[in-house]
Amino acid sequence: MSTLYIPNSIALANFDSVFKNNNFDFSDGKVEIQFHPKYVAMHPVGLVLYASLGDYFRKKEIETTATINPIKSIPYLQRMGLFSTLGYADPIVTEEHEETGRFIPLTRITTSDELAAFLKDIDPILHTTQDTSRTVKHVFSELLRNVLEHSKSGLRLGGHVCATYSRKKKKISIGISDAGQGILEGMVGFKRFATYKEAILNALKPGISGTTPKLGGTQENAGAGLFFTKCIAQSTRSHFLIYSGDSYFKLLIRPSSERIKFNANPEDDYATIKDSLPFFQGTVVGIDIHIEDTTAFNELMQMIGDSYRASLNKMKKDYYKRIKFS
Amino acid sequence: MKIMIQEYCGSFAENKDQARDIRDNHISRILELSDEVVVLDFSGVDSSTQSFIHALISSFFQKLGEKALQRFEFSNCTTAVKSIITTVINYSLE
Repeated sequence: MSTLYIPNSIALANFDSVFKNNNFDFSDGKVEIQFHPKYVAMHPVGLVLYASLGDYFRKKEIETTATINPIKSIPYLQRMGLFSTLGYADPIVTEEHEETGRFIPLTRITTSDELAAFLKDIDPILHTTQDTSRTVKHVFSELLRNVLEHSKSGLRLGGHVCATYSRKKKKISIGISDAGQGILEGMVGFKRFATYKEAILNALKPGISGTTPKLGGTQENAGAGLFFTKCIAQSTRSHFLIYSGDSYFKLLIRPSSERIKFNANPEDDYATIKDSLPFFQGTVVGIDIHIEDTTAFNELMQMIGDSYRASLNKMKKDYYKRIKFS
Repeated sequence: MKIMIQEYCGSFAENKDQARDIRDNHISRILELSDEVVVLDFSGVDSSTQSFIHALISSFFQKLGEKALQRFEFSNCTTAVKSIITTVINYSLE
């Protein structure tokens, strides 16, 4: 029997903790889910990761059992919907507190209409300024539409989203995931990508859409969604992580004294890029947004848009990759 | 010819399926069949996404170039919507 070990702390800064004692190899068809025996502090990125692993188990008809000890973190994990999403009964009886301004529990989005309804409902939950609300909704929309359009996770499964708000840290943390085909397969217009790492790094570049090899995308997709999302995280000096297959890209935090620069090439970012990780079938995105640092939404869009345009022009004029060397 | 975006998309215009519908079934027809200016009225729309505005108008600006500026009018836009429309048109015209 394989084991899925859930560690005591999962955040974007220490995301590698999800790989502790785990190889994500569930090929023997049976999995025992083990929680850390003392406590589990979990960023939404962890919640959505496990929610999508649950979907993967269902798709592959992998039998699971879970050992849930009476740890302090159970009310949080339960209220965020982790146990029910994994197909388990809630372990304890709790009084459900109002979500307003505090969190969005694990929510499954399977259609465009469900996404529209979700975005309509979250305004009172976000309970923040109009500019921050616009920024957060932009992130939700771009990332969840990516899931619906590119993941091929299936109409029944779709993707997962959840979020928390820390009043003390003035930070909104978001996780979005799917158990679909992953970014490498999703880059159908780019059959030349050989690895997940290469596919992820290119998906983050402005003007590269998975649907076409044409720079600047199609009339449906500009290849800008992930670039805009990464820039939003950068603009508030926050973490951003994208993990698919055996690779991830994680944006690190720059000190506030440094000027923010939106790089076209994610390899120029202050970031950690890893491959040869335990293989995750699907895609997970985590992002933090510090609401005190949120630039007015219109200025932010203008700044990122200018950067997108300049980068695209530069890339179009960079003929190096199109010259046939033999 | 005026198209009220809020009637299709509500106060947060992000649904690309609806953008595609407005583009293919309304804007394209107006541009093909008449010389009228297409007025996209964003009254009641607080914000939008780059993907929505791209799906809505980018193809016309890529195809017609600067002439498209004479065929479109964007009315009652918030500063947020204005910034996204400007961004999309700027990169579509390059």
